[in-house]
Amino acid sequence: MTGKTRILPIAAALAVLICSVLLYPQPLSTVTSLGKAGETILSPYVFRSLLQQIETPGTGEQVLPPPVRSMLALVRSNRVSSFRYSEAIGANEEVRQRLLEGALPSRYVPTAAYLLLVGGEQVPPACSTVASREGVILVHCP
Amino acid sequence: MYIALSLFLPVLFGMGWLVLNLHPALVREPTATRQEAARLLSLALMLGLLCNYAIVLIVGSLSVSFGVAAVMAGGGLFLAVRGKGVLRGAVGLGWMTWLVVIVLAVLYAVLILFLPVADWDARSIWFLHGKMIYYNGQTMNAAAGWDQPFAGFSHPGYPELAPILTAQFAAAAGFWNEHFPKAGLFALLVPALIALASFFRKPWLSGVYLLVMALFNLGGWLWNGYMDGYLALYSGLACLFLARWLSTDDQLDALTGIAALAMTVSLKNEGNLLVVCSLISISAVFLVRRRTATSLRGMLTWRVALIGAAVFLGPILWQVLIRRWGLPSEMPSSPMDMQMIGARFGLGATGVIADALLMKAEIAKAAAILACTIAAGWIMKRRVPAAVWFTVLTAALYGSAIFWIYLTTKQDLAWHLGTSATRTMLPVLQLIVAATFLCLIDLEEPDDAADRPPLKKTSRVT
Repeated sequence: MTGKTRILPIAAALAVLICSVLLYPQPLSTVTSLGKAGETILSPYVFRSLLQQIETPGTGEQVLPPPVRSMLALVRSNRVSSFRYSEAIGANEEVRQRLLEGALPSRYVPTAAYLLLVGGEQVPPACSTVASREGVILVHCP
Repeated sequence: MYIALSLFLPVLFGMGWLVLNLHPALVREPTATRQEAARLLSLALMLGLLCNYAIVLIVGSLSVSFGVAAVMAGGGLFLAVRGKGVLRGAVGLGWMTWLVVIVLAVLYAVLILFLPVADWDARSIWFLHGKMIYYNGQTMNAAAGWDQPFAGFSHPGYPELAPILTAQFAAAAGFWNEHFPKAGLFALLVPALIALASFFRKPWLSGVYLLVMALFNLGGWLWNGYMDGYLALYSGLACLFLARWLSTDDQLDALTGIAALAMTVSLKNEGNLLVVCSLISISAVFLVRRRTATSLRGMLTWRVALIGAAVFLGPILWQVLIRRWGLPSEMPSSPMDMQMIGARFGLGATGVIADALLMKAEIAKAAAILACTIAAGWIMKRRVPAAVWFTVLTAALYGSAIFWIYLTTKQDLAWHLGTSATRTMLPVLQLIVAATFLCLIDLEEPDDAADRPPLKKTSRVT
């Protein structure tokens, strides 16, 4: 192969690579994220504190909406094995789904004795308040 | 916990290597090139993942599955050490390739493990299912609550490869949190990284393109807990290996492609669509090039069929369990009637869908780059390899099927497109990237052997 015929394909390949990087911003963003990951490894204090999070049961729930965190705290602190929720909670799809998956091993059961309410909702007659926390109420309906 | 992180790769490799020994000719000889060694390593890891999936579905209990995996891995590692070929090949991968793979694996591991599970589908589907298995006495059976009201929204019939892996890591650690079970994603990533490395070759530009567009372009989809990124990654790999098989007739390429296809089926139901599209495209190539049909006949041995059956055992078993437990299959079914489809046409839905799938999902840009690459090849008087047309046809078929799914969706079209179009088109993007990559290696190496690694024996297994 002559020099010219050798250079042309490489130039074409280089052009394709440059066009791809210019047209797609995601790869550069990924490289930035990977770079930050590298910085984390090189920073012993940050790395150690993140390792502690990985090693600790139940960590990472800070990503949940605050009402859900309160509901989960009520369910866990009262050792509730099954629960149901009010209409207001059910109407909020994000809160409902985060509650149901976050609460495991405690499960949602439509006939459960424990009911979760949010502030402003009436405690049903014959039900007694078990505990409340940051606008969320756990009641027991025998 | 750290023992689980250190041991899972050797265990998966050992399991996969044992399965590969069903066809001793595949593993008997030392690997000839670093690309071949990387391919064999990634194939063994994929087989290990798929075997592990099938074993958990068969035995149910995660602890029993650990025992079976340990025995299988012990046998596989013994055979690997005794055979020496793959180990020598692994060392021969070269420090540069190993450095790239290890550095990327470590950096991705940091992002995967340190960022908690936060996004919607990750929490509501994949990690919820893992949690259900973990809190069901670490057992995969009907009692996990697949048909219970609390799991109704989570698409209980979706494939369970990733949830099972997350539950296994949690079981190994002895607790659940929103970080460590994500190691399951890392287990999915490593075989794909090594598989990508099997396509690196001098002068490296095509390899850099593959790394940038097939890996980095997937961005957060590889660490946020969604399966779409991994589906796309393995879709691209499946087509790359199958495309290379169409050029080289090398059975290991075919098997690795089949294993990658099985990975897609085990990750998301769209994998089934990819299998159908790939089969149609391969048939089309056979029709055009009769020579390939001969190589297919050479492949149809009972040993290859046995390994092929082993890789699809998990997805088949899961479909059996879905029926036994009375769960919805989650496959697209009973599309809207023709009258409604006609009405959608009238409302200009085709334009809306095309805009979302081609422009917003950035398919048009990738297709334009591919067209320019093919044009550059033509200008330099290069013949476009059949492997490229196979990949383009598969992408076109898959994209058309996705278009049809949106056209016939019973959901609100704007909502459906807005929440999913970008990620459902990721496999199409990966297939176009794969086609561009195949054109690039053809440009870099003009002779007929361009689109394959320099194997000493191209069809050592017949």
